[in-house]
Amino acid sequence: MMQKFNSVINNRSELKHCKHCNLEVPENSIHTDFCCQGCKSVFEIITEYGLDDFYQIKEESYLFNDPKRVQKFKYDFSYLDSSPQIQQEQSARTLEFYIEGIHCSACLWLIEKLPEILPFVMSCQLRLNDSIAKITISQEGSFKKVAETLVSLGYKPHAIKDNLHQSELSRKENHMTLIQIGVAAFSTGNLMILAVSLYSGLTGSLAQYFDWLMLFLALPTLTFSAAPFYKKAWYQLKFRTISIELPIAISLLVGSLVSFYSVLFGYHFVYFDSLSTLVFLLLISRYLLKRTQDSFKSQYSLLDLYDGQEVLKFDPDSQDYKKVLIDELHVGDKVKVLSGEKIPVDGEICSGHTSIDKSLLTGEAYPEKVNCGEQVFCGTINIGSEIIVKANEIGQKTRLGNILKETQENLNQKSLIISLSNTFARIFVSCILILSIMVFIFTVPLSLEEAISRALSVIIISCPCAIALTIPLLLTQALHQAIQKGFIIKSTDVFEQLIQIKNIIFDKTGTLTEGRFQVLSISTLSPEAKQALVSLESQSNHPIAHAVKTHFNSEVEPCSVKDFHILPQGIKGTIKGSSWEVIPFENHSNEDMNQPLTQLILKKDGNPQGYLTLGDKIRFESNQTIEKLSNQGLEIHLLSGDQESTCKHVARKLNIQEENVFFQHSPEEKQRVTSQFQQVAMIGDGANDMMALSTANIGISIGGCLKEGSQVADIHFIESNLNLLPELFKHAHKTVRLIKVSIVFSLFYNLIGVTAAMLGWVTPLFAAILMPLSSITVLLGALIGGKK
Amino acid sequence: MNILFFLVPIAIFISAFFTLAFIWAVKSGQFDDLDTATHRVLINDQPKKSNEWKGNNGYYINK
Repeated sequence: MMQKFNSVINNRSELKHCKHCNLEVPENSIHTDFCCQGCKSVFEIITEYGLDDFYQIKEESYLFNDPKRVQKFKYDFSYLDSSPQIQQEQSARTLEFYIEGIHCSACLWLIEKLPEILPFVMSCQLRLNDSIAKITISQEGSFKKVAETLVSLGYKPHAIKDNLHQSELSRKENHMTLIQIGVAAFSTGNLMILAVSLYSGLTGSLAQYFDWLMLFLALPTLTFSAAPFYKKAWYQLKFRTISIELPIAISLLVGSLVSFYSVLFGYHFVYFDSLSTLVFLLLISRYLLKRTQDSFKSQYSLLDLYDGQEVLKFDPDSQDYKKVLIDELHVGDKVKVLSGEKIPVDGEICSGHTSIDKSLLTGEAYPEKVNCGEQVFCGTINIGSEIIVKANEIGQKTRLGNILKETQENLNQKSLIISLSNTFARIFVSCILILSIMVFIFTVPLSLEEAISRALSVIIISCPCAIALTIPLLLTQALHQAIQKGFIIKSTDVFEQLIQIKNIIFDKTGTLTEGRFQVLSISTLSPEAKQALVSLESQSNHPIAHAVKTHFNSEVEPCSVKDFHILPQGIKGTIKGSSWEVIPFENHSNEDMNQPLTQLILKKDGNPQGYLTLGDKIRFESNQTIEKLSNQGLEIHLLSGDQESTCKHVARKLNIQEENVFFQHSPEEKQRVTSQFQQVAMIGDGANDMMALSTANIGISIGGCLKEGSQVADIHFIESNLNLLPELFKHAHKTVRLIKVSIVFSLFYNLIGVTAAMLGWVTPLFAAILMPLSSITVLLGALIGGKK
Repeated sequence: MNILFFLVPIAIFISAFFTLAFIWAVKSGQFDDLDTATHRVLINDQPKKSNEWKGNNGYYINK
């Protein structure tokens, strides 16, 4: 995925590249070497600090993320220095920042140069895998300055809320695993050397001496390093479930006891080398899987950011609006919300009127007009003019806060599935125990000693090591392949759940459709008509006006309008002596358009000048995806917060059966509907789907959606592309098929081993060959199969 | 061959020593972040240009 970063800064090439971000310089840019003012000022600051080596390093460095244009924003960071997250030490203070905008190793270099730029910064260390910088400053320094410097260098710092306890725990756990692997490696390496000499026929006192050495070498591995297996098997037994760890733990214990007994009494059943190799390999395969999962988790999981969002609060003392932190708001405070801003509270509008985009909260695609005195909710976006909102509910108590809270509870209750390997283990354990008892009974007539040794060797040789080693590595490979295809899978249980899915519930707005109210088509307009249209619409706050303005962007300059009127439906005004109006227009012939549509006609002195249609566009790949999924026998449902007619129309267009359409559902109702289905996958974006996503067996969030959405979902699509969905099912089917094939393959080896044990052929040498051989062949087979 | 009674334990002690060194390295946090260090070593420190140390401000200003 990494690509070589070539910084081409020359005037000879036709396309000019920005000196800072390396993106193309737009044609209408006022700067010659830069794409925007943001990049230019960052470049100037970097050269001013004498850090222009940055650009040389950048040429040779690798890209992790796509570079972005620098966006200048003004931000008051004064809250940082009073942040409760700062770790105080004697002469230093430490704070961790999540840094937005890290994209290559030159960024690493630049950020770690902070101590050179700001003398009070004592140390600065950046972790590239999760873009977190740990910055320590002296008591005299200020984090405000640190943040401002980072902003001036073109990054966006966010202080991280305290989760030190959690991260410290996982750090300790990681250390423990690594030490266990190290100890197992030490034992295994030395045991192999000793075992080889024993297998090649060493006898006498030296052989006995080696046996004892092997005992001491194996002890730390079989006790300390293998502890996770014993613990898990014991824990599972306590809750009356069986996992793959149980047969492993049994084999390890029985093997150790037999070997220990043999060393003490001089028999030749010393399996220490095989057992220790087994522990070492199993630990490594598990560690690899965990590392892969953790690296996705850190990128796409809840980073509690201490963002200190600021709002304009009315201050009765100075009779003016002042910037305060959102935490300082109280119920009853008045807040000013500018155009384009998120509304920070639940409350009622006490002055002004505007349109709000509620699509995140309710799924309604059509922006809603709100007037003075009406209720607005936290998380919706003000897209009209500025309004004053009186807070009725704040923070956790808002509708959005409630949704977040309940979603968290749902996630905690999500039941774990019994995975394929555990079902396998359950049958396996009972089979082996019965077999070994039978072997014992049938061989007792030969001799008691022989019967015991054969029964025990059945247990030792049947250790399902091949499967326990292969499954974690197969899953690691599957997770990596998934991310290359464009989806992030957060838990490995997902694969087995996906192939059982029978129902798929789609959200409408933003999932099946693009989720924007936009101009879909417009007839050719004369420049005069175009200008009139834009001029008229720029007088209005209506969602239609907003969509039209966005469509034309800065193409046309609006001119002055006289006698502007808002009609019951439509608008009217006089421009340059002629009277223009934009009014709704019913045209039923235009059926193949993607409804729901708002059709408008532009008239000059009563004569039609042009037509426009507005609506939310259905994604072009939706149709194909739904067809593919229904062909696979999946039941498709549509679940939306939007109006009946809109939903029904989208359903008709996409061939979704009418009885499977649920409309006008609140987030709570969406959750209820989802929980009524069995084996259901829910795919959606936005806060209104979050509760449903967390209830469904599989929750899938789709690219560019609200941050929280991607955190609660089991699978996250990086791009907003529905075509990934059939691809995802294919991937899951392939992975599960590979797991099944590996299980069959390793059972075949077990069959050989158990037969040999029954006949009394199993010796430590036999085990030392069969165990690794089976593991390696099964593993290779699975990995090669997975590559295809 | 009796020398083996003595040499094998020595070999084991040496490997035990390295295992202890590994445990120390893990505990001191050297394995906490395996991704960044791989990039950090690749960045060459460029030779310093004619920078001037600007007193208390502490900024390097390019002349």
